[in-house]
Order: sequence, then C-alpha cells, then structure tokens
Amino acid sequence: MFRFIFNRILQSVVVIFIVVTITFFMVRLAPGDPFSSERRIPDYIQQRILEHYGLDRPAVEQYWRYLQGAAPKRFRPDKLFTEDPLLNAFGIDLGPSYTSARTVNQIIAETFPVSFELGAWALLIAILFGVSAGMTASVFRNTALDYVPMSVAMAGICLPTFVMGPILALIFGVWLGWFNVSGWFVPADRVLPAVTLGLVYAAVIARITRGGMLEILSQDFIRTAQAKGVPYGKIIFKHTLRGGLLPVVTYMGPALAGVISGSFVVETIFQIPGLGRQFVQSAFNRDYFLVLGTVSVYAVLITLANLTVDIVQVILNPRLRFED
Amino acid sequence: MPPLLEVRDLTTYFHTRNGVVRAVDGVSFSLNRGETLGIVGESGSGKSVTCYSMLGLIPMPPGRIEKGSAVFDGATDLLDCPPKVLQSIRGKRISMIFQDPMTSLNPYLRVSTQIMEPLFLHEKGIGKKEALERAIQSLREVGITEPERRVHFYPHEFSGGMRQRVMIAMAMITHPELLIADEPSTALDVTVQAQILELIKERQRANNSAVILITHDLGVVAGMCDRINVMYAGKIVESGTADDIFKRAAHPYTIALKRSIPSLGTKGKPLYTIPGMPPDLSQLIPGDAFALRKGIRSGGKYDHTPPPMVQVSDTHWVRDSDCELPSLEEVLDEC
Repeated sequence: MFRFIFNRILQSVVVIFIVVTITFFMVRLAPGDPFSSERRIPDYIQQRILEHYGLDRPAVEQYWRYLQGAAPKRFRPDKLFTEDPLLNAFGIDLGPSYTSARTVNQIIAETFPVSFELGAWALLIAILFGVSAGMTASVFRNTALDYVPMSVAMAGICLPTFVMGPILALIFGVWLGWFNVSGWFVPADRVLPAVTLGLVYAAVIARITRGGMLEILSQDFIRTAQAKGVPYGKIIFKHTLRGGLLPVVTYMGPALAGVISGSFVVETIFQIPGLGRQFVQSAFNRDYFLVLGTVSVYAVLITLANLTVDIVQVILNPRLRFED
Repeated sequence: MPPLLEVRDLTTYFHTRNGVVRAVDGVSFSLNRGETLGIVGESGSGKSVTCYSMLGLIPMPPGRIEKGSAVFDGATDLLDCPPKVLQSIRGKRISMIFQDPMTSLNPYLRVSTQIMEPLFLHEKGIGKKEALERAIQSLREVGITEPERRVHFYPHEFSGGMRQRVMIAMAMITHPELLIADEPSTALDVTVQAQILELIKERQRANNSAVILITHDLGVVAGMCDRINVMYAGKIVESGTADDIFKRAAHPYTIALKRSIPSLGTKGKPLYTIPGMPPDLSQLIPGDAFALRKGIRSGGKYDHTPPPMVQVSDTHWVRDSDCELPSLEEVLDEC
C-alpha cells in the first residue's frame, strides 16, 4: 500500500514537471509578448524592461531560472497561513506578474482560496444531490422516482454553466431578489455560483450512481444476501453502496478538474475574484509567469485529486488492495 | 407429523415483453425432515425458479407467482405470508447455496462479515465475539484450514472450491432445517465437485437438515437423493425414489436423460444426446411439451390435452406420454 502511494506521488511529480515544461515553451510560441499591447515605447526602454525580467536571455536559460525559483525548497507548515504561503512555507517563487504590481505568489495567495471555496461548495452540492438522486432512482427503478430525477439530470447535463448561471441569477437574483446577482461578499453570495457550478456535476454523478447501483444490484451476491434474510435497507447500504459508488469515486478526478476549469466561466458570470479569472486573463495578456503559476496550481490540484481517488478506490475495493 | 415442506400447484410466470413465460407450471411435491430431494432437468426447465419462488427471490416484476402454496413446517405458507415472516425464515430455517461461488459472495465485504450476518439477523442479542467464534467454528466444519486467520480474508483470496465451502459454512451457521443447493457443484472443478457434494451430505447429517438439490446432472443426484423430481418445461414429468428413477424410469425424457450420462456408455461409442431444444415457454403449450421437441416421435395422443400424472407404485409417479425416443443412429444423423 505504501509502495503504491509512493509510486503514485513520484508519478505525480513527473506529470507536474512535464506540464510546467510544456506550458513554459508553449506560451512563448504564442505570437506577441507581455508588452505588445502597451503603448509604443522607445526601443531602449523596451530593452531595459526585457533585461529587468530576464526576457532577453535564451529561452533555455529562462526556463532553468524559472525551475530554480519554482522548485519547493522547504516545508514549514506553521507558515501556511501567512501572506505569501507559497514562498514562506515551501520556498516557491513563481516570479513576477508583468501586468500587475504584485508577484504571482501574491495573486495566487489572494485568489486561490476564493476559487477553492467555490469549488468545494460546488463539489459538495454535486455529491450530495447526485448520490442521493442516483440512489433513489436505482432503488425505485422504473417508477416516477426514477424517471423524474433522471430527466432532470439529463437536462442538467445538457445545460452549460453559461446558460444555467444567468438563468439562476435572473430567477433568484432579479425576480425573487433572494440573492445578489454578482459579487463575493456575504455568505449568501456563495449560493448561486456554487449551485450553478455544482448542478452539472450533480447530474452526471446522479446518472453514474444509478448505473453503478443497478450494476451491483443485479449481481449474484445480492441474491445471496436476500436468501440470508437481509432486510432491503441493509442490502442497499451494506451490500450495494460500496461497489455502487466506485464509479462515482473514479469520476471524482475528472469532476474536480472540471469544477476547476469550469469555475472561470462561473467566476466571470458572477464577478468572483477567483483564480479562474486570473487564469483566463493571464493567457490573454501573455503574462508568462502568471500563466505558468496558475497552470501549475491546477496541475498540482488535479494530480492530488487523482491521487486521492486512486487511494480511495483501493480502500473501497479490496480486490485492488493486494496487487502490486 | 406434517412434512417439512409441502408444495402444491406452484405456478410462476414471467410477464415479459415477448409474452408470458410459464417458467413453473403447477409443480407439487413434499419433503420430509432430513430427506434429500433432487430436482433434475435441463437449463430452463424451471428447477431453479421453483426454489427461488419459495424463498421470494424471484424478481418481481417481471416474475409473478400465479397460484399455489408452499407450506413450511405445517404452519407457514411461504408464498402467502408477510414479508417480515418470510425474511425471518430465509437464512434462518431455510438456507440456500448457489451455483457460482465466484459471484455469490460479496467481493467488497470480508468473509467474517458475511458469515456472521445471518447470526446477527436471526439470533438477536448475539455478541460479536460469540458470532466470530461461531463463524470460525463453521469454517472449520467445512474443512477450511486456519479458520481463525482466514475468516478475515476477502472472498477473492479463496479459490472457487474454497468459496463454495464458505457458502456452505454461511448457509449452515444457523443450523437450518432445509438447505436448498442450486447446482452447487456445476461451476467447480470435477475433482472439487465430489468433495463439495460430500461436504453437503456430511453437514446435512450433522444438522439433520433436509436438502433440495437442484442439478442437471443425474449422476450427482444418484448417490445423494432419497427422492428425485425430473422437470421438463416447467412441469414435473417423473417423480420417484432414486431406484424408481434409475431402475424403472418410465417417462421418455427421464430415459433420454439417463442415456445421455456419458459414463454409462461403453468406451469408443458415440455419446447419446437428446435432440432438439426445450420448447419456448412463452408459447402456450396445451399438450405434452416433450412431444414438441424436434426428433421426438409422438402418437398425437396429447397434442391438445395435458398428459395426466399416473401412479406407477407407492413412491413412483410419472406423467403419461406416448413419445418415442430416436435411436442413437438417428441422433447422430441429426448432428
């Protein structure tokens, strides 16, 4: 088990390194540079700026210096909740942002918690609604309690967040006046964006849960349990749930990636100061270090999520446990 | 003393999109305490559905028990009792083991959890420690070595034969009065088959349980069963003691089944097979179902009326039939 986790962490490190490398050279392949949208400036000033940021050096040298800065150098958990946790706790310096006065570290420290909170609420909604709807549908298969949630789920899958978001804002923000239409100030501001982001995944999870549960319910060992006199509720919760939720766990990796990348749409709709917006803007501005920084954060998050999924799967499915 | 189980006119239909499948059509038999009954027939003859019906294991819908009764221990009609009552009998007084031990145990739960489950369900107030001891004892009785350690294993850590032993241990842990074994040896290696059957016999003697053994293998029932029911197309076609069936078989289907036991032929001789296929049970069969089988000649006596059961002796009943079996040469020509 420990060997398995160690191997997975090693793989994750390699993946993140590859992602950073590819991103580094890809953004430089894009036409233009961070300053191409600025007003014309004299060449010698332009030269000074490029020198200041080291952009006049060969790409490989820039790459080497970036890696040196970005590599974690220490681990101080007590410094996690300081102003620049990346630098203070891990010794990671993701460089300056060309388009703002702050460093990439500071931008991430400011915006990441917002995106993280939004994503966490969205995933919570997705799992709560999805799993309960899917379980209800599978237990009451081919009745109204199956058809209604599953039709709603199908609609939920088909509606993209940029349609769902404005509709929810219109109904609950404008017409009913229950929530603010945009912003991220009071706790109630979390509701609409989290629901918008979570519903799509709730729909997918509902369908996966239903499928997984039905698959297990049709297995021979459920009949064995019935023959033993196990009551129906116990058959569902003790004998079926574990295996039935395995596909959902598998889906959580991609779901987390989706919640993260989907969050920039939602952040834009609801004017939320999150990392997703920084990510999109940095790409437009060719803010090299900010692009790299946000991509790295996402890469670390997604690999962490997948690592967790793998471990949870092994815990849930004993048949995987002893394979080396 | 009333028989342990008295089944009368059990009729189970499946209402599918392609029509009504008459899986079990008026099956009656009775079983005394400690007795072993074999139910023999081809796949789809209704032998498993008969037993699943009694325990309420038929998926409903599409299945439906149309009529009949199955009185257990002279008191409870299994087909017509509150679900709670049936649940308290299942796994406690009637246990069941299934064909494929690879899929019949829950792969996500430890063997200990699964073996102890009937105890927690049916013997209220039993402690965890005592239940575990009983589980270990039960595993020891079915010949699993090191049961103290292996009780905590997961099913996939056992071989097929060992898993069937676990199934038997789980079924016998509550000392049931009736054990239903649905093709318990079919999915196992030939070398393990005999061991498992021997084990069932041994556990049956130790508990003085009655056993219903469902199988398509006449060889299996020969050495084990006191009485044998031969089923065809949802009906019992012949019923009698092992001697009646093996020495005095009267129904052509039983005779054909016996002739197709490979070991009874001489070496080098081609094997006898019953030609054709069992009938499509979603079509109403007014007469003798066996007469419809391809390659079977019938005099037409029961084309439109159901053949009656005829008593041959005190113990031996057979469904009347005027069918004639084809000879081995004819069967070979057919192939």
